Amino acid sequence: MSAVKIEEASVDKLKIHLTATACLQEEDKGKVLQGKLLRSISPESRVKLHCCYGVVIVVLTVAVVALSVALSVRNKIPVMENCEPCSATCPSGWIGFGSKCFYFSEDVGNWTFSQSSCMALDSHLALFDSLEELIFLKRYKGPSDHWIGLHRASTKHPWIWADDTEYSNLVLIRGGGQCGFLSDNGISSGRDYTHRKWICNKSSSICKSKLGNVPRHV
Amino acid sequence: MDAPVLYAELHLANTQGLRCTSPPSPRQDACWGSGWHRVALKLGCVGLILLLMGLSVLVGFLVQKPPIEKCSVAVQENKTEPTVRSTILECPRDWHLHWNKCLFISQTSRPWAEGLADCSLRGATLLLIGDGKELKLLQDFSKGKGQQFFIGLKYVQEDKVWKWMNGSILNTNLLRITGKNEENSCALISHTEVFSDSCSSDNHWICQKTLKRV
Repeated sequence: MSAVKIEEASVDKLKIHLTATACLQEEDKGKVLQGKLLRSISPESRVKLHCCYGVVIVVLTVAVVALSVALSVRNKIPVMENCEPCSATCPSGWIGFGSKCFYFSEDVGNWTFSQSSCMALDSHLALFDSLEELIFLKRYKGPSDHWIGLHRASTKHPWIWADDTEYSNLVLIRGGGQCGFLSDNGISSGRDYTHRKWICNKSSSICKSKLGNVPRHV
Repeated sequence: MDAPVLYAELHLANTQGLRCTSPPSPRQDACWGSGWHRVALKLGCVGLILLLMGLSVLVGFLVQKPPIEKCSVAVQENKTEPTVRSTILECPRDWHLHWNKCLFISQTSRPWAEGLADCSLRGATLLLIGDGKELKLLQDFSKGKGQQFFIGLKYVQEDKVWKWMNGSILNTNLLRITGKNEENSCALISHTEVFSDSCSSDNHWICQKTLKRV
C-alpha cells in the first residue's frame, strides 16, 4: 500500500510540473503578442505618422497657392510679341527702340542748353540711323517740336551730328536755321537761341553685344 | 507501471488548452483602435489626391504659352481746351475767347507763310499783340503748352524795322525782339521772350479774329 501511495504522489508532482511549464510558455507567447500590439498602437509612432501626413499636406497646399499666384501675375503681364528685348534695359523714364534709349524732355530750352542737359545725363542730343527710327521718334514726340543732335556753323556749312559725325542726308532738312529739330513735317531747323523741348539718346550697354541678333520693331 | 504514465500526459494536454486560450482576447480588442482615426486617415488621403491633381493642373497652365499682345507706343493725346462762351459774345468752335478776340491755336507746326495762309483761310490773321497784358497772357499760354508760336510780326529788310501784319511798325516799348534782325526773320513768342526765328522754320502759330456780336 505504501508503494502505491508513493507512486501516486510522484505522478501528481510530475503533472503539476508539466502543467506549469506549458502555462509559462503560453504566457511568454502572450507577452510577445502584447508587445507587438502595443508597439503598433504606441502614441510615438502614431504621432509620427500624423506629422508626416500633416507636413505633406502643408507642402502641397503651399505649392498650389504659389503656382496660382504665379499664374495670375503672369496673366496680368502678357509677353509682347515683336517687342524689342533690349527695351527693358533702358533707365527709368527712357524709351527703348532697337539698341538705343531715348529721353523726351518736359522742359524747353535753346539748343546749347538742351545738349548740356543731355550730357548731364551721360548722353547727347538724339541721332537717328534709319527712317524707322525717325518714324518712331515722330510718333512718340507728341504735338511739341523737339531739338535733336543736328547742327551747322552757318547756313552755308554742312550738317553734323552732336557727336561730330557728318550727317548722311538721309532726310532733307528744311528751315533756315543752324540747329535741327523734329517737327510734324519731319526735320526742320531754327535759330540756336530759340526754345524747344529736346530728345536725348544713349545706347544700352547690354544691347550693344546683341546688335546682330536684335530684330527690328515693325 | 506503464499505464499511469500515459494517463498523466493526456491530462496535461487538456489543462494547457483550457487555461491559455482566454487571456489574449480582451487585448485583441484594444488593437483595433477608435473609429475616428480611420475616417481621418481616409480624409487625409482624399486631400492629398486633390492637392496633387491641382498641382498638376497648375503646372500645365504655367507651361502653356501666355497670351500675346502687340507692342504699342503710348502717344499722349492732346486735350482740346473748352471754349469760353458768353450770352452776348461768342467765338466759333475750337477758338478761345481772350477779351475781345477769338484766338485759334494751330495743332501742327509749319513755316510762317503757311501759318499766315491758314489764318487767312479761317477768315483771320496772325496774332497782333496790343498791350503788355496780352503779351503776358500769351507767354503764360506758351509755358503751359510747352510750345512756341509764330505771330503776325515780321522783319522788313527794306525799312529795317519790324512790322505787324496790319502794317503798323513795332513799338519797341511794348515788346523787345531777342535775336537777329535780318532778312527772313519772323517773330516767335515763347514763355519768357519774343524771339526772331527763321521764317522758313516750322512752328505752331496763333490766328486772331475780331469778336462779332451774335
